[in-house]
Amino acid sequence: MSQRRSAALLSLRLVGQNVALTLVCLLFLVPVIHMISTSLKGDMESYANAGLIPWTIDVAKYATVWQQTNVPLLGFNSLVVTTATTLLVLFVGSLAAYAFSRLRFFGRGPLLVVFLAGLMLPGAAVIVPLYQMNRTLGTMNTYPALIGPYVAFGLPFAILLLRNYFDTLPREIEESARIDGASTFAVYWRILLPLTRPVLATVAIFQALAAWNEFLLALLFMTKAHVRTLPLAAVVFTSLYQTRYEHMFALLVMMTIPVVALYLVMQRHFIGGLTAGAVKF
Amino acid sequence: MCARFTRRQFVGMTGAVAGFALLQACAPAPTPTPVPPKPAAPAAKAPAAAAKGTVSEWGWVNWAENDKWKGLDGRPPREHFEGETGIKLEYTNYAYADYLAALKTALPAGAGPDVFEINWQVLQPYASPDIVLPLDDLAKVTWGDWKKQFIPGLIDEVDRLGRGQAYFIPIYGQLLGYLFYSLPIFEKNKLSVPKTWAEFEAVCETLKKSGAIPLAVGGKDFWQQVDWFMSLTEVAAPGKLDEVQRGNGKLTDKDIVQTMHLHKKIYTSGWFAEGALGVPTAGGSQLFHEGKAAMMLLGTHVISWSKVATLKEASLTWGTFVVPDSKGLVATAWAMSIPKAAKNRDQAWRLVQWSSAEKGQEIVAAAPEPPAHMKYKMAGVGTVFDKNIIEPLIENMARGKNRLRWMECSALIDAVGPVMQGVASNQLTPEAAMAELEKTRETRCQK
Amino acid sequence: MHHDSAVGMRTAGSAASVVWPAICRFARRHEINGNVLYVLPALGVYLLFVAWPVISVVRDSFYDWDGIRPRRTFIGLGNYAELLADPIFLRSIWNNLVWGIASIAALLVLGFSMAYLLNGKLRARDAYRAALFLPVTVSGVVVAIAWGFIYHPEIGLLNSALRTVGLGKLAAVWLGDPRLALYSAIAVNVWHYTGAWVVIYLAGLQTIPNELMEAASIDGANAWQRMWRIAIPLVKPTTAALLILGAIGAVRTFEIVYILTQGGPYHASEVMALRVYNLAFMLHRAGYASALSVVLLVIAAVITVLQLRLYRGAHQGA
Repeated sequence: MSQRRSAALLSLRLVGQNVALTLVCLLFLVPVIHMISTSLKGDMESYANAGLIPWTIDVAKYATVWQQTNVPLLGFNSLVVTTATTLLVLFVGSLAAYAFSRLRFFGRGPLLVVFLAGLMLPGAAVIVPLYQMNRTLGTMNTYPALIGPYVAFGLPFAILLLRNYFDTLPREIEESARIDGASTFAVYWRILLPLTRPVLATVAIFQALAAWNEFLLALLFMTKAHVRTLPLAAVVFTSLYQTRYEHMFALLVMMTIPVVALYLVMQRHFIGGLTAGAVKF
Repeated sequence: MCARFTRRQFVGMTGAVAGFALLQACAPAPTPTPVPPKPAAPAAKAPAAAAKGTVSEWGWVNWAENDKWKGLDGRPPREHFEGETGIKLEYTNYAYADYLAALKTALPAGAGPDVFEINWQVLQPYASPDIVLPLDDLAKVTWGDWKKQFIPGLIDEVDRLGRGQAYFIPIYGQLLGYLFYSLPIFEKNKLSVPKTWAEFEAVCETLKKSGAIPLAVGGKDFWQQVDWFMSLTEVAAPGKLDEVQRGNGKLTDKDIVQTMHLHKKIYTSGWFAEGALGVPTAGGSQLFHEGKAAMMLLGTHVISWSKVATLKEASLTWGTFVVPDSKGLVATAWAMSIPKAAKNRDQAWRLVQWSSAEKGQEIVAAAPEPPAHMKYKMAGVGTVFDKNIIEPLIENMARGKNRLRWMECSALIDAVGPVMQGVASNQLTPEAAMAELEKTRETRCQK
Repeated sequence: MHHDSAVGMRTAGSAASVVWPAICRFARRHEINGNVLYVLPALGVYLLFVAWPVISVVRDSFYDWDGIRPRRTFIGLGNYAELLADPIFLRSIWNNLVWGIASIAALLVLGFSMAYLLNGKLRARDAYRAALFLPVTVSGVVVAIAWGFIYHPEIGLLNSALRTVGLGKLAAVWLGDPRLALYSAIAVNVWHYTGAWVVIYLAGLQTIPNELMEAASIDGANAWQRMWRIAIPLVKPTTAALLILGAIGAVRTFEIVYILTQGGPYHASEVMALRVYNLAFMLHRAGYASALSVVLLVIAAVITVLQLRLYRGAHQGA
């Protein structure tokens, strides 16, 4: 009797939980739905129709926008920069994190502090010297102009997460390998790194999002049309006097689809990394 | 013996450290020594002989591609330019707000394009031989007595900022401080164009009572605030702004402080659209287009961005007048400069020349924008609109009136926008606002 | 001859055999060894693109410079002296503080409660989680443009919706009213990042053994008590980590405010990074902006160190 009652109570709670969650999720999705619906409206319709339901549906503009802003080229540029940044941060960052967690060397403590000090560095504060650095290195209007700073800005967070995860791994695993004669690098590459895969996925997602979406440095360092990245494209549809919201939002939707897809594909690993304690400092 | 530390590793480490040290040393020196300007740097040869090659240009009006510039024959300026000169045009377009940041990072670093676009609000800091090429000699070689060939009000700006030199060539001008008004709304309320400020206030009040929005403005954009400010100073204290800039009087003097009181009154009386401070120009003018607002403050530039089709429709329903008791302002809407570091100087000058005195001017006239060169006339739209708006504006411009309201110092211009917002949103008193402006002028504008 | 050179060689050899081990000993004592090579790639990139720019910013902060002309004047601490008496700068610090506290508080409450609701045997959990996480994947630029339109006083979704449901009185000038602008921007920030906090909290909650909750339930603790007495204390390390993330986000805040309000009206929503940007790029004051950057960097460093300390405490406590 009481068991049945508690079961009923449980299912009632489950319903309540689901209703609450659905409501909140819908509320959270409204701006996204608004974005998609605006992108479907007819030209200049949104000045008259503020609602979520388009009066006319104009999908053709997606093709126009695709062409006009050269989405394939900009998308390719974004993809190269994002992929390179992410891979570099993962490799270089995990090497350093491994050293900070497992190896002893001169200046280990202070160096870690130097890295962590960069955690909060606001990009806007160092743009001018960064620009001069790119000039000096001759990297203006090339992919490294963005990849370099993106990697540097991403490293502190990656090192922090990865080092802390390495710290939680028991040392016994590697000691037996050591006895079998594995080198320091082999321990990192063959033993620790595979164990870290979920956390690497978490770091990768955060890093890829940051690189894909970055705006300011891309604006200033990529001044030629053939190297520009996607976030710079929205500009085409705003002028001082007029904003073509429908076109702009079509572009915004196209910009967002790849990252959403990436998240959905990586979701399991990403969550796995978080559950494994990726975000622990 | 020396576990985990071999000589090879030692050498490698030292090498890496030395490498970083070297890279650090290669970084640019903190104070680059100013190079003395080379007068008339591009070869002053006959324009037609200019070399082929490429020229890069940065700007925000999308001179190469934008639909606005296809009015002549449907082809974008890029095609015309490349076809006529054989020079390839590499154009980079920015949003106006981002554009200034891009210029500011590129030019001091000696990077940037061969030609850049600039307008009157931000000309001053760039009008210097440290940054751009002096163009006067070159213009003389190319055009002879060139200053007589351009609109006087625009040449005024060239002279005032160049002090005898020319650091930019105007491409087209604009008249600011004009109100566009809706004929139907005025008719419905039996209103006529106000001749004095007092009449203007009465008109606003009548309109408000009738349920219409008296004035549309994009108060979020600083440049709209600046336009308004310059009109209001003329109402409050005619000629004073110019006097102050010549060293007679201060912005905190009682007569010119009245400017901010007028400004405040407009907001507190509800003559602007509700929420005017929260919308950019595009949002503000939309209210006018939809017939919800009776007037909007803009200049000639409004004409070209409204599509010609819209204009024909609007032609019967729009009129224009100068802000009462004020004067309009002739200003450089768009000019071109050549950075000192430009790589393709010949091609750069060719582009400037083509844009300011040749086919470029025809394209500008067709846009329609008021061409800087007097040989070209801004095209009408073939309706009453020409009589209502375009003709009076262009006449004023060509006659070279309205030169007094000009603010020279960019720091001062930059300070006006936020301060106007501060007064409108009750965060600053009119006196405090003018005090902030005067402080900016004293500390940052006097050399 | 032959004898001499042999001696020479022996001396050189013995010198090497004396000096090298000494170097080795010194190196070993101070742990100077090849292990540092693992850090060098990261350090190289970091020095080039973070450390060197920071040093240049410090250098620039001692100059009066418009950022355009090559001429600059050394004025020592002049910029810093001006900072202390600059009400607009102080206001940007205050705004940033409000931004940080309000965002973090909202994200903590929303993030935890959503995660707590999600932490059960829900069939649609992945869908809910993905829906909440969706905004996180959208770029700051896109978010700001989209919300700028939603907040539009005349044709924006928010005011239109309020008017449609008869709450027209609540319609406001979200970005143009100095009392609202900052909070409107904060709301966008909270919307943008709630998903990340939910996902991270959920991961933390899932490490709590089910038996613990069941045992408490058998002991008569109701849901509310279970949350306060078990879940919240046990996710303390996650909370601490999120606080750090929140603070990082607050200090770095730029894009959203830049696009939504440009810091206006009249500095009402200007945060520190935006103030730096405006000074350097809009107001032609690169030297002064550098001084502000230095202060911003110092504040960021202090917060980082403090939080990592605090965090250690929370971590060991749990």
